[in-house]
Amino acid sequence: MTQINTRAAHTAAVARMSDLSAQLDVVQGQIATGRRVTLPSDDPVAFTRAAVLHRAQAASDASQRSIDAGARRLTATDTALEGISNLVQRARELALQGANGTLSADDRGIIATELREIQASFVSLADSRGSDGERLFGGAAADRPAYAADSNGVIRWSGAGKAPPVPLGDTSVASGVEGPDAFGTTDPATNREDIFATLANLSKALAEPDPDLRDAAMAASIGQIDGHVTRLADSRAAAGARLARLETESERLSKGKLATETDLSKLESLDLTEAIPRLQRLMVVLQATQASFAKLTSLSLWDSLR
Amino acid sequence: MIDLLAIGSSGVRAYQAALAQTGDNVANADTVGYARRSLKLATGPAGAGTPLSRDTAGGSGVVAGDIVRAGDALKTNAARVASGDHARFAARSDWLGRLQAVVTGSNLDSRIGGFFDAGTDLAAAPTSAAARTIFLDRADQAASAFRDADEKLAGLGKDIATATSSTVDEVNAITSALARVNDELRRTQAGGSAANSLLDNRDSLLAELADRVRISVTEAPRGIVTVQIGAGGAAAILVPGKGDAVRIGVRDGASGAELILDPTHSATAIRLPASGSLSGLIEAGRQVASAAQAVNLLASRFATGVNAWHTLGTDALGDAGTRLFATQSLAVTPGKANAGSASVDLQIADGAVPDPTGYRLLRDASGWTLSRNDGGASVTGPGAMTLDGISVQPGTGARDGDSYALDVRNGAAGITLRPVGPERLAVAARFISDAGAANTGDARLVLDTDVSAAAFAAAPPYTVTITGAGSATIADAAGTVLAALVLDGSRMIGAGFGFTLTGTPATGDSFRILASAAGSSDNGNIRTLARLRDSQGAGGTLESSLDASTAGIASRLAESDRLAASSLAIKDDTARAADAVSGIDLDHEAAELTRLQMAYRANAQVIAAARDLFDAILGIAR
Repeated sequence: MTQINTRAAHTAAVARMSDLSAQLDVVQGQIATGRRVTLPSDDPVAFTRAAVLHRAQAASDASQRSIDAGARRLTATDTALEGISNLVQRARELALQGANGTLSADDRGIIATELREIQASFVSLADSRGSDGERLFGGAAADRPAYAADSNGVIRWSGAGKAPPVPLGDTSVASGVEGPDAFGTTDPATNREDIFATLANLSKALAEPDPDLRDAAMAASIGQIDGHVTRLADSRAAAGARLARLETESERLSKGKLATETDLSKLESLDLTEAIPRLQRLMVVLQATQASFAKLTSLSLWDSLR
Repeated sequence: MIDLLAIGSSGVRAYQAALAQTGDNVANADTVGYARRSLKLATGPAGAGTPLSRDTAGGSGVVAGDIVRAGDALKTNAARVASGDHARFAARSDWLGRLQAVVTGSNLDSRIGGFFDAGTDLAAAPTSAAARTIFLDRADQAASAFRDADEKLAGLGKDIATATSSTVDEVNAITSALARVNDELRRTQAGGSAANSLLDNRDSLLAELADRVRISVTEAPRGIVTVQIGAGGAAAILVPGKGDAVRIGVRDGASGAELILDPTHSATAIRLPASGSLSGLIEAGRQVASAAQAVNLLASRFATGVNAWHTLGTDALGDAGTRLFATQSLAVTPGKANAGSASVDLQIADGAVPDPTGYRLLRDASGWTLSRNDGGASVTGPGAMTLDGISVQPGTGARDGDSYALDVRNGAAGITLRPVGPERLAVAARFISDAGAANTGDARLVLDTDVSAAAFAAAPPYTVTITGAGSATIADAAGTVLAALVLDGSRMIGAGFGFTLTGTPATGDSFRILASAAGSSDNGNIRTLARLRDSQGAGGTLESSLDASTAGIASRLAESDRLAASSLAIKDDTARAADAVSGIDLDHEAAELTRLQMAYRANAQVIAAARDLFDAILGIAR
């Protein structure tokens, strides 16, 4: 004959109800947080994968910030180069005007005055700074002016190295244009001049009283200026290409981020359409258990004994 | 007639006793460990018809026999084993849950990631003071996460050790109580109420013992038990049938804590029992120890890697980078017999390397002595003193004879950020290079820092000039040629750097190689920090090996949870099966009560009938 131990039966019924309550608590917590995996032990494999994805997300945020910083620098460089291009174009117009033999010395004086302004503007643009106060055209030596006069009074590039590149995975993209690449270098041996020297020579040519010498010097300067215009255009194209590369990378990052987010939500997120019916089912079962427990425990032979 | 009276009264007495027993059962319906008892009724003894014993014709009534304790030894044993299994998995899952909380709560994973991500930010803004400060802060956070994890793991290990030793104490208390119960049982008459209480007591003790360690129980007559730890014929005896219980203990073994028998006399290690909370605790303790070891290894790898990386760069003042993390610290442990209450302040000078054997600080009549444990050096003084760059400052309240152990801590506990200012962060590469603007070839010079390279005496800046097809020279600032180079695409070394030329250079092309100057905005060194993040070591990259150890803990916890849940079901089932035999069913008792009451009343009627017969006899005589 099987007996039902009253105490054990009671304890078992209570344990079943606590178990149901605990399951309800878990489902309720999952619904409240919207997450299926809250602790590593909920799903060790998903947790490990999610940890990797979370990290990838943080790293891609950091990469995005560094791409943004590089792009800011390149945009600032492009703006400065555009200003310099305009100045050099204007200098070329002035040189063509000055080469006109019919101009008087006074007229050439007026042109020379404007040229001095252009020179001053160029000097300040060549020393342009980025958002962190770094010289855009100084390469890696960004804490000192990019150009300075040497002991002979000749203005030379005082930068060194290259602007800090933006790391993109295994490769990197230069985040700037160095002074000599944009403005040329002065080398008498090969008849090279940078913009500083060309503008100075142009001023000198305008002040030359001898018309023959002046014409020759003006023609040489205009030749140099044409070279500078081409070089500046090349530099701007290079800066633009680098910007475009950063933009492509940035797009790739945001696409990757979206994919990561989708993966993460697959791994961690709770399927509500499945969770809410489960919650309801558990609630129904718990209520039924409670009701049947109350009914059964009220049954006792002792009540019938008189 | 007289017989009838005697029979009736024996019945009344017997059923009274049976009713009392049923009442006792009802009263103890909720008593844990109480086994249902029933009174065994027996026919009254009838004699053989000799002068001393009468052979009665009408029977001799009923006598109340032994009180029988309901129970099934096999079912009880099954319940005990199942309960022990559950206790083991529940203890393991409880402590592993705490371990998981410690491991994920220290946020090591996100702190290490944050450090490397700050490196990416710094690479984008090498001269920004804010980016440098944030990077240093992240480095500090990573170091403190390691220390925090180590401290919490050590605390958890200590908690488990305390729980283990108190469980061992409980086991020893239970086994000695069982030995006493055995003694009592030997002296007590079997079948009596006293013996039954002792047996209840014995079964409760056995159940408690089985919750802690796996036991096998052999029962002898009178209910005396022999208890063995573990199962099988060779299992060691914990409680013998006669004599004192054997104590158990825990000691540190090769693979963490191990269980020993008879710790004070002839300590012998025994295998971990297959069930019981003690096994769960010891298993969890081993897991915590291995997690702590993994964190220590990771901390050493992180600190060594970052230090090696940082020393390859140049800081904002133009100097070579120094180590970023200190990897050693000292822990002060006051001697156990210290009578005083002085605390000791301790400082390790930056760059000081404490002796690995540790130090000892002793107070005696002449003052304080700080000595190296290898006996190599010591200093004596009235108070503050310094040895090997370690400054100690004993507080007040010390007594003569007080001692303090100063142990060197490596790994996660020892890792701290050294006092490095933002300007001292070696963000730039040691050397930078640029190509001459007048170069006509498309060659590029790729530099790397190589501390051991020394092809010539260091004299930066250098100029590499292509002198012809496949040949070049490297010259110093004054134009003195330092070395002639053969351009065959292989790597060439200079002084502190190595380089390769890629592409096709034209004769007359030149490249400059300059040492990074103060204020450089180069990010050459910080860019290589990503390589450290990706570097493969034991268990993969730094972060993936951390993931693996967290996942290991998590999967063991998940497994323990599952086992705990399934063993709980088995425990419930077996307990119910055992209880069905020995427990109280109130409805059953109510029915019994009714039945016994009726029998009692019937016996009272028998007495009344005997009285009527007696009256009738008296009536004849009258």
